[in-house]
Amino acid sequence: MAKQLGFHVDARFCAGCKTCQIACKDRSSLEVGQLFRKVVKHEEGGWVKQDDAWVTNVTAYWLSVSCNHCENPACVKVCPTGAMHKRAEDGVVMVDQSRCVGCQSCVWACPYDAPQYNPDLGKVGKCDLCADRLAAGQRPVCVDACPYQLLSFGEIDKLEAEKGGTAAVAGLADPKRTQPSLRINPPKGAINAASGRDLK
Amino acid sequence: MRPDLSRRSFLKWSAVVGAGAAIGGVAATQGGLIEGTASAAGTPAPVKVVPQQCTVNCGGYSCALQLHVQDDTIVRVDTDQMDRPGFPAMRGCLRGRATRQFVYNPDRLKQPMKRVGKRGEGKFEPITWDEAYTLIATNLDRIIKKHGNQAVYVQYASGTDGTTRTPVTRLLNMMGGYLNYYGTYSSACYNWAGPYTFGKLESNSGDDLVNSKLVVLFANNSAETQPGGGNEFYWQMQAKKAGAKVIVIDPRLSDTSKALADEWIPIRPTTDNALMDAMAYVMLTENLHDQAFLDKYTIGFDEKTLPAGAPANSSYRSYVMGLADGVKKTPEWAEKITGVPRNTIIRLAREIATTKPCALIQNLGWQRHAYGEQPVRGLPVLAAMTGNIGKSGGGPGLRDGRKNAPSISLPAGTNPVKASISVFQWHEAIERGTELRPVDGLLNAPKLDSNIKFIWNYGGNTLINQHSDTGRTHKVLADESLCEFIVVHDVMMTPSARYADVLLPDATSYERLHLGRGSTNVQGDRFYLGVPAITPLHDIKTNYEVCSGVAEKLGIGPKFTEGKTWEQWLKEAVSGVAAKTPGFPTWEQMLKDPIYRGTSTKPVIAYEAFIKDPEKNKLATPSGKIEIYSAAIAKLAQERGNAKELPAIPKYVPAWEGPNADPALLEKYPLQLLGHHTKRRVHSTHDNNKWMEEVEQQAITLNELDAAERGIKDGDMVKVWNDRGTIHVVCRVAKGIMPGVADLPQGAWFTPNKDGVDIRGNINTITKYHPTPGAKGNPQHTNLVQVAKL
Amino acid sequence: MNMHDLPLIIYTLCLQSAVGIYIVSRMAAWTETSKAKRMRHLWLVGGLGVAGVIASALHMGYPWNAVLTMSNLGTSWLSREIVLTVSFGAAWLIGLVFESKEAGNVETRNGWSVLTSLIGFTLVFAMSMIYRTTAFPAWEHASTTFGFYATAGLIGTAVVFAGQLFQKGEEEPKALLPLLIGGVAMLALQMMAVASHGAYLGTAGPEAAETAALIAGPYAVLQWARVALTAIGAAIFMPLAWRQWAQKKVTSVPALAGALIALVVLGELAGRVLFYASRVKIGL
Ligand code: SF4
Ligand code: SF4
Ligand code: SF4
Repeated sequence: MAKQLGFHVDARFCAGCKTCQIACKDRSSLEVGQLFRKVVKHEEGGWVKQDDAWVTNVTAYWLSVSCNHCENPACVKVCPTGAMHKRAEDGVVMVDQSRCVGCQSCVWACPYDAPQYNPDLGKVGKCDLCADRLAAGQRPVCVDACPYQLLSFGEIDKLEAEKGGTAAVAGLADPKRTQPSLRINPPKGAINAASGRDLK
Repeated sequence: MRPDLSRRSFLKWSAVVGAGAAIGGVAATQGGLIEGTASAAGTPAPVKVVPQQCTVNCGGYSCALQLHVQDDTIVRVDTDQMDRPGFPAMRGCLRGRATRQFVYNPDRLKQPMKRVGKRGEGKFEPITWDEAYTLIATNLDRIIKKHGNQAVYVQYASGTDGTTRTPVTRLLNMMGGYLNYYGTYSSACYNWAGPYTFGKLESNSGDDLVNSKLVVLFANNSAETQPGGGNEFYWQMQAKKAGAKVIVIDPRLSDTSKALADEWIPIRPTTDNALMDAMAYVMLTENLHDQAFLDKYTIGFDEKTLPAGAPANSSYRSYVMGLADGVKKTPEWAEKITGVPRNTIIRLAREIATTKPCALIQNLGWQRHAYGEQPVRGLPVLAAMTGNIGKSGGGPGLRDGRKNAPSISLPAGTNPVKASISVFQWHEAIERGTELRPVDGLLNAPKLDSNIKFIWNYGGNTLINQHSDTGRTHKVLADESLCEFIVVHDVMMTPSARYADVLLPDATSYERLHLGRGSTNVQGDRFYLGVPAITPLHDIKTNYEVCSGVAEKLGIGPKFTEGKTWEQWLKEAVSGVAAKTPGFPTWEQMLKDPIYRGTSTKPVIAYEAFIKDPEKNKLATPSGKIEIYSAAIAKLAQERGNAKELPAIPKYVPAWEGPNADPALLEKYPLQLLGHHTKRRVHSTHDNNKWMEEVEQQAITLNELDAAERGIKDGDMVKVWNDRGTIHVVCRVAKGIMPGVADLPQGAWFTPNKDGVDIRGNINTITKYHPTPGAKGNPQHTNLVQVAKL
Repeated sequence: MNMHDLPLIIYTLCLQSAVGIYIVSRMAAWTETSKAKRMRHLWLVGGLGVAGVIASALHMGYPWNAVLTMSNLGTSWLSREIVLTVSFGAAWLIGLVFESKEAGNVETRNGWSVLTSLIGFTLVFAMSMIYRTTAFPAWEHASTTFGFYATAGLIGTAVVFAGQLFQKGEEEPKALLPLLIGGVAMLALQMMAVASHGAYLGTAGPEAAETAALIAGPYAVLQWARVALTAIGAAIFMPLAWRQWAQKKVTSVPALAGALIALVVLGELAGRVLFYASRVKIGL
């Protein structure tokens, strides 16, 4: 198989600080409302009063998600102009804005909310894995931003071999949909409970 | 290779590859990407990369930023990538990374102005710098002549780094001085109470946490307060990776608990001492405590180690066993107060007592309450009972650790005025300064000769925003007959700036030369030199320029500047430290690599020498030992007549607005309101940063049960109120907060509408001005409120 | 309602109506020979098509690139839809010219109508597939396709039926019976689509469950409006109008005909607004 770049997230320790989100916004100078990387909270559990005390089993965790440069990208399939495409040499999914018609089909199709509509341009923008930085020999800005060094990127097979992880995490879509190039070391209780329709 | 990258920075990048192992193998997985393609030029390159720092007062260590500057404009913000032994990459957090929204913010002040409307109204008109200096100089001179130097006050502020603010105090010292303050809004009770137990405060350094088996965090949310890499959270994470169990005690499921907690124990705010007392009860009744340690190193735990003159049954044991008040501090007793189930208390006590070593760590949130002196001294008792003090992997039950480093300062001269008020009491000193007496907390003087008449507020928002009870503060400030003149010098049109008589625009730290010291409460002390990355925007002047200008008008220009530029002053400061500190860089070296990191990679173990030999290495307390009972507090409390509120041993003292408050008050205002430090701001800095509003909208958080009871849905606008004020703000409905507790993160910019209702969500609209009994500190987490759907 | 969805609501309703009216009107005109009767409804179809296309252009953020939208026929249902819309329009125009010039014989023209109808039929399918390939579980179901066909069929029969009624005195009541039956059948199809969608939502994960909750909760009024209005229109007003017609109570017929169109169209509009408003996306 051709080379496929992707992300690894060690979500076990993610504090949800959103530094990755801000570094990404800064790199692409994104207006409010557009997030190429976003950090989302997942909360579950409840509270019971017992005499004068509160008993709880509430847990919560954060997930940092961008475009996953899917092996089977829903966005590319639905794009009518071919603006959304998958780069052959490294599997990076990018949007060629000179072709984009702003129909937002990709926005609807992506189960990770990765393509972001830019109302000023009338076009869609998206994580391109910091292609300019890659070309300049740097890592993506989010990877370099996480204060706790929980984000990694590289060839997805090697990342998985080295760090393990899964994309089947409660709070994210069933990975069978698009085969995301994303591996997450999930926080406790988050494994194998992907949301969304089960695509058997 | 990109044209902008010098050979040195290219080598730096190679170093990044080399640091791959430390960065978790990232470089290794990249298939030689960094080196292999480095020569293939990418997008148009930034002209230069300027190493700088984030200098906001998060209490962290001023993370490294790398500003990409093109056409004199910051176009991107990068950060540190280099892990070194003991010093993980100082990667800036979201706030540091959002610097562009700070520098290029539309709220920046653009020119000097003077007030034209009523004070606080925010109506100004432009003046020249010369006019501004004259206005300040004539008023300062007039007020000192008429009221004396105690009428001059430098407002507590933390918006800029330390050396940058020295010129104000230097100038005022030359003018005969100013009224001092003691303490800080962050740590008033901590810094006041801790020394009564230990003399000088120490803590095991962060890198020692990996040696712990159990880490218990009390009111400690390092992931939000100082998210930058290498700060406290980083070391807590290392402890967890090394296999330690982490327990977090907090009314909120904080981000720290989300990321690290094996167990989260929610507790009602202001009641932590009850939890600790009950744990002590369990340890005592189950004989799990280290009596030998207590006997050898502490006084006042038992009757037999009480100092001479202490009344009978005043030891901590007697208190816990109910010998003095007839109330045994059982888990059942604590459950009623804290909301923590009795079985959890018992289990926690056993776990803490039997897991060795165990690091009990507090942070500052819990000491910003009515009796904030108590928890600060309470946790060290548990650390002593379990014999964890002086041990690697344990610790004294204080805050996270520090390593000592030389301090850097500019010559400010000495203040001829010795009188000092608590940092929290300034507005009382405006209203009735001459009535303040030592029993009120006045230090170094029997009384004040004058009320405060002149305030210099440089780089801070405590003038209204961060001080309790904005309604009352507004009234005091708006009355021009009380405080006669207010100078505000800042970068933004903050709520405090609205109260200026003369309002001056300052440079951000990215536009000026500055020298600072990363906060000392974390691993890896460091100094930094900041070189301006861009030409200052607008018609702005730095603090040194302003003070020089005012000095000139006062006829002491040459005396003030000694003919030196700001750069010369900083150079001298650096060579001063370098002369005393082997390995400290020269000015020229700092220009190249502006960050100096300490060199010690050996963990610090607090009070290690004392534990080894308590006779030879006495603590700086009156007894030389750990004072669980403090005769000094007992004496002070007697003088102040508030022994119930300020006991000689740490106790649970029910807060005036807490779960044990007056039932009628609780009926009216059933929710306890906290104002935690959110990651989206540093105090009030970045409140007007739109990227941060996107990170987390300013909102009050209610537990889902409390919200349901009030018919409130997530995202609804609600009204939050008590007798002191009303706030209209969005409501977040969450699971991760204890029922009965609400949270409105502190720091939002006070924005009253025409009815005086704050429409931004500034918690001080409803906080109370009620100094704590010992430190006379701020109790801003002590609030009862009601919330209803708007 | 999200105003950004408005262009899509108008586009899908207009084009589905156009296809429905076209196909039903061609069936009704199959055996006709007079130019006037064969031309009937054709201009309406064209008008609806044009309105729909204009609306759809408003949905695009950068319509200047519209020509590029047909470049991904391999996988993009939107590309296919656009090609089919253009083809349907072209086929309709050629058919219109044929009919107005009475070119060739009726059989040839009927043959062209069949071709055009097939294009229209496929267009409705393509339209539904656009929605079925999104990350909105509520849409990822066969009921989206059936629902779109039912919309086309229901509006098509209602409009053609009512249209015939307006042509006073020409029609034998018997000749209108197939339209009546067709209308009720399309109503049944729509109700089946609604029911199977509802059943499906319960089995399709948390987001679909949220959609179900939206339909049952805040948007219940839309759901009831679509069911009630289409049912009253097709199952009550259509037979009622037909009976009046059969009993030659001519005066009340135009009002009834107008009302039944309004009911069916409003019902379908409510359904379509609901379709968009109740979507819930997977994940983040
Ligand atoms: S995450 Fe979304 S946008 Fe990215 S490749 Fe996958 S489907 Fe496309
Ligand atoms: S920067 Fe790291 S810790 Fe912070 S939200 Fe992103 S992944 Fe999580
Ligand atoms: S942790 Fe503190 S110093 Fe570091 S970037 Fe964040 S706010 Fe700035």
